[in-house]
Parts: sequence; structure tokens; C-alpha cells
Amino acid sequence: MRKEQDLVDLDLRESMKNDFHVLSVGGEIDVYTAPSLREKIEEVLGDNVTMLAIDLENVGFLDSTGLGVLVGAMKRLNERDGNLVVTCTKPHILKVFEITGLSKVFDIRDDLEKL
Amino acid sequence: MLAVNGDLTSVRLQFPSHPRHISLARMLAGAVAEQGGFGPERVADIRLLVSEACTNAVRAQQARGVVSPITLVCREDGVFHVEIVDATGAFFDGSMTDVLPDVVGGQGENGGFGLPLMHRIADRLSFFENADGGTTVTFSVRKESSSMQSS
Repeated sequence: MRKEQDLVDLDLRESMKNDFHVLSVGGEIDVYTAPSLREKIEEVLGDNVTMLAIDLENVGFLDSTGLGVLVGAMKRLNERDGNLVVTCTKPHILKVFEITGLSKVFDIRDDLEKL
Repeated sequence: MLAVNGDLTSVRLQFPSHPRHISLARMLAGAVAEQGGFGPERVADIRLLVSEACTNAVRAQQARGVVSPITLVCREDGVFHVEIVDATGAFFDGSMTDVLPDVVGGQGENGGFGLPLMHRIADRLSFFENADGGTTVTFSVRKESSSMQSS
């Protein structure tokens, strides 16, 4: 039986696609789970990754705390002349980027095949 | 503590002031909205609004060492009404802004998107300072989405 902690944890999986280090996220990104996403991103960036794709296709919810984590990731990659791509097609997730103007700041693509 | 009326048009939830419980508040608000015939986009808007408001409430209380429970009330009568009550007056310290962070200018990593998101998604959004020094946030969402305001 899954423990209460398991039910709200993010599912974080790493892979490679072309030159990109891919971090695929599953679950809901909010104030409770965003720290674990931040921690995983920092771990990945600690390996000197400069091309990072964060796949949100299996994210069921994203709020402003999640946006803050993604903005932080983009900032760190920009500091090392890197590249951050976000992949997602879910309308309610994309809406959060659009309302905040971040759809003009982030490189958002339909899927990992477009990396 | 959860109180529900017979046809799930009104729900009252009190939950401990901790981030892990905000997903429950979202889930409950979404369930009431779906039961009221709100479409997927509006249900998603409502879940986002509830999450943002509850996050602000929990964070404000944690910053001040307040451990009172947070109260969420959802009511649907063709329009979705939400009331969230906490025990701090954090919104009345000058931090109420609907201005988005300047990400290109280096802002945004530490937040600042929550209130602007709420202002842009809710059809009506109000903040009240309670007599006991706490805060009540109320917002309403119609079934039809109004055109998105530019950021």
C-alpha cells in the first residue's frame, strides 16, 4: 500500500534526448512538491549540464511555486550560456505560462521529439 | 474537519496549516466545481486559484509562527464562490500587487506570480482584514471564462 508521502511526491525521471538532459516530471507541482523538483534540478545542474529539457507532459497541476522553480532553472542555465526547454501540450499547464507572460520567455515545445 | 451539504454545492474544510494539505483543498474545490457543471478549463482555474490562496495563507502563517487551521469554503450557485480564512494579516503589509515579476530583469525565482495569477484568472477577487487580525480572501469564478487580460 502506498504511504501518504508517496501519493503527493513527484515522479522524477532522467534520460537523454539528442544533446539534452531530460527531466520528466509526473504529479502535481505546488508549494509542497516544488522543493523536490528544485533539488533534483540543482543535482542535475551540478553535473555541469548546459542543455536541459523539463518535460511537463505528465504534470497534472502547476502553480506559481512551480513557475518559480522553473525560472530559477532558466536563470542558472543562462548564467552558463545553457539552454532550457520545457515540453508540454496540456492547455491548463500552458495557460499558467501564458497568463504570466512566461510563454514568451521560456522555450516551450510540444514534445521531446522537437529537441 | 470537513462539512458538506447534501448536494455538494457547499463545502467547508478546515485543514492544518501545512503545505502537504493544499492538494486536498484543490481536490475538494475541483470536485465541487465539477459537480456544479463547470468545464475542465474552469475547474483547472478554480484549482489554481484555491492553491494560490491557500499557499499564501499557509506561508503567511508559517512566517509568523501561527499554527491555526486554514478554512476553505466553496459554494456553487451557477457561479463558484470561494472564501479562504487564515489567522494572519499578511496581505495588508503592502504586498498585495497584481504586477508580474520582471523575469528578464532577474525577478521571479523567489515567487511573485501568485497574486498576479489570481487577479488575472478570478472574475472577482477581494481581500478583507478580519477583526481578529486574520485575512479572508474571497473570489468568484463564472462558468464562462472572460477574455484573458494581457500581462
